[in-house]
Amino acid sequence: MDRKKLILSIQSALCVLWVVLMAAAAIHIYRDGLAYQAQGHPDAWIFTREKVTAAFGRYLPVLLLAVLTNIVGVVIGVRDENQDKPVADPDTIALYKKERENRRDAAEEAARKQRLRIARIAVLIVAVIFVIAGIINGSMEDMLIRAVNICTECVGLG
Amino acid sequence: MDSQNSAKTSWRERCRPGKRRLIQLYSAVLYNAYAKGFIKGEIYTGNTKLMCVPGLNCHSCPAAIGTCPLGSLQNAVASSGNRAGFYVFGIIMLWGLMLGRTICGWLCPFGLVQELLHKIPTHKIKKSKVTRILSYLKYVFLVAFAIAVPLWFGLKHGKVVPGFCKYICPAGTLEGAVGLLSNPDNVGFFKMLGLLFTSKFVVMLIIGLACVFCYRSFCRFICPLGAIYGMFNKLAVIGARVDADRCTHCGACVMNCKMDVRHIGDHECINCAKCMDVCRQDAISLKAGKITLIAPSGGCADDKPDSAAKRAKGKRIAWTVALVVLALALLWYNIPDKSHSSANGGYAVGDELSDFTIECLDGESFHLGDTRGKVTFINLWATYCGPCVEELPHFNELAGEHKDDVAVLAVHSSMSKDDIPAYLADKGWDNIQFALDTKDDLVWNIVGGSSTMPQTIVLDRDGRVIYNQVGSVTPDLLAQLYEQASD
Repeated sequence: MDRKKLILSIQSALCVLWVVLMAAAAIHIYRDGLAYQAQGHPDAWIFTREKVTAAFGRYLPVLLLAVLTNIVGVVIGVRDENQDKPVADPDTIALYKKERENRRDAAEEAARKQRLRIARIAVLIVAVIFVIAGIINGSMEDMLIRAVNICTECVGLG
Repeated sequence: MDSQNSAKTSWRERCRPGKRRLIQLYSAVLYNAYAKGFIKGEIYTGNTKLMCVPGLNCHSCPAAIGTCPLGSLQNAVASSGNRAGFYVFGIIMLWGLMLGRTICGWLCPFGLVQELLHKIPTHKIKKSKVTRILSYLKYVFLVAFAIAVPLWFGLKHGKVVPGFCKYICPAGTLEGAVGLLSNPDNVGFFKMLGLLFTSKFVVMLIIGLACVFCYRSFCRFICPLGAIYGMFNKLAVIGARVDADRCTHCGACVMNCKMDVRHIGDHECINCAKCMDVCRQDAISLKAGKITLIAPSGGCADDKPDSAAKRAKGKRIAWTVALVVLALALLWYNIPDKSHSSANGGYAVGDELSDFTIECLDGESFHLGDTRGKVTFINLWATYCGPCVEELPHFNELAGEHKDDVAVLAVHSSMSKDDIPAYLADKGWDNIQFALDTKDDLVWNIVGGSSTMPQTIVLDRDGRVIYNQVGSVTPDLLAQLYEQASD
């Protein structure tokens, strides 16, 4: 395995490891908190700043190592060269071959553009009508109200 | 080609942001110009939230100055029993018609996050038949989570449940939840974290990891907003255009594209214009109607001799205007902030709450001073807040059990377009006194009301605050608070 492939593999492993550790830490905090609540402390907090900081701190070395590997990788120009190669998908090749054989003529192209123009105008008219209707029926204010008075569940807080 | 170059070019050149990256960064900063929100730990509540930003940017992010189109769409769908959300539909249609998926490629902050994650040098998963099939999954997410879930809960249960925001959206978790939690002033928010946060956090990690290995995984397979804009992509005024006379249908553009496109400009194309680099016929350009925004290296077929010079001049003007707008926005939102009302103080645990009188919806008045000797619960709620509506029966039950010893006042946010008495008519929450806060947010200011709901304030028999927290309460917690206040 050459040096570049090794760095790629290490970095891949570190990314997966960090995510697994962080996910496991979150689940662990949740389960621990739940168990503590069940022991007669219904008002105990499942997550606390201290628990989160401790979990993050525990796995910080993995993150730092990943960052370090990232910096090394960027500086020496490591990247999966495979990602820059074109994908010669047989379906795509067949599709383009077919298109080469059945090229649209100028009249067809002009008709297509005309249809697009009409569709564009129709959508524009509908959109403008909707916006005006929304201002009149109060849905604009509704949107503002819900964006400034947020519900805690909606952002995943709980 | 890139890989050969990467070995020869310096790391500085490799890391130099391109035009698209700068525009992505620009829009991320502009959408989140209220930087002060992170310091205060509060979201922006000004009038610019009357406007949806085009990209996916959670409006619960403390810095967000506009509304997320996807969040607003779900709220509108959930409320369609009361009022059709024409405004949101219209705005999304206008964005789609103007820009289509150019928004995903150039103006989406979460697109930027995904691309930066993909920059991490790891092994990469390339597009294939599998990813092409998976790319249709986002339409399932759109229908199931962004439409069906809000519609079902809205019509069937009268609750606003934005399914995608609540259960999946990694942008909401990152910007909204983590953004709010990161401020030390919001330490009380940790109280409400449980299964929902744990699952959303894990989902965010998985999506983030997927983006490291697979280009724009969220955008390609999950994002309902991308699915909507994809439907407009062919109609969009701005987008990648192929010169039919120059194109030889070699397919190089599609085979080199990292998205699951079949044609340039189709529903999967984010108009990033990277295909221009591989098109040997110079057939692809990025256009706004007939105006060329980015021309191929050999120029467009309809170019005049001075077109290149005009484009360069146009770009300079556009960048100047854009930077001036950004500077003004940052100044406006962070220095002369007039939108946030200052709270009175005296609402922390141990404080005695200032006295107030408010007219209730049943015509009677609630005077805080009259509740001395009783345990008083003040709940801040709104009809459009799912957890608020869920916890009100618990308050009603408690007040019913301790009729002469407990006073419960539920104050609805002053911002409402709903008919609250009609909403409450069939609920049977008769033990609670309901009031709509005054226009100047009298109760909200006295109790230190947050822009996040629900919030519960509990006063002991002497009128001292023993509890003031954002987040849902359970019957057990209410019983415990009652005991605590009675001691």
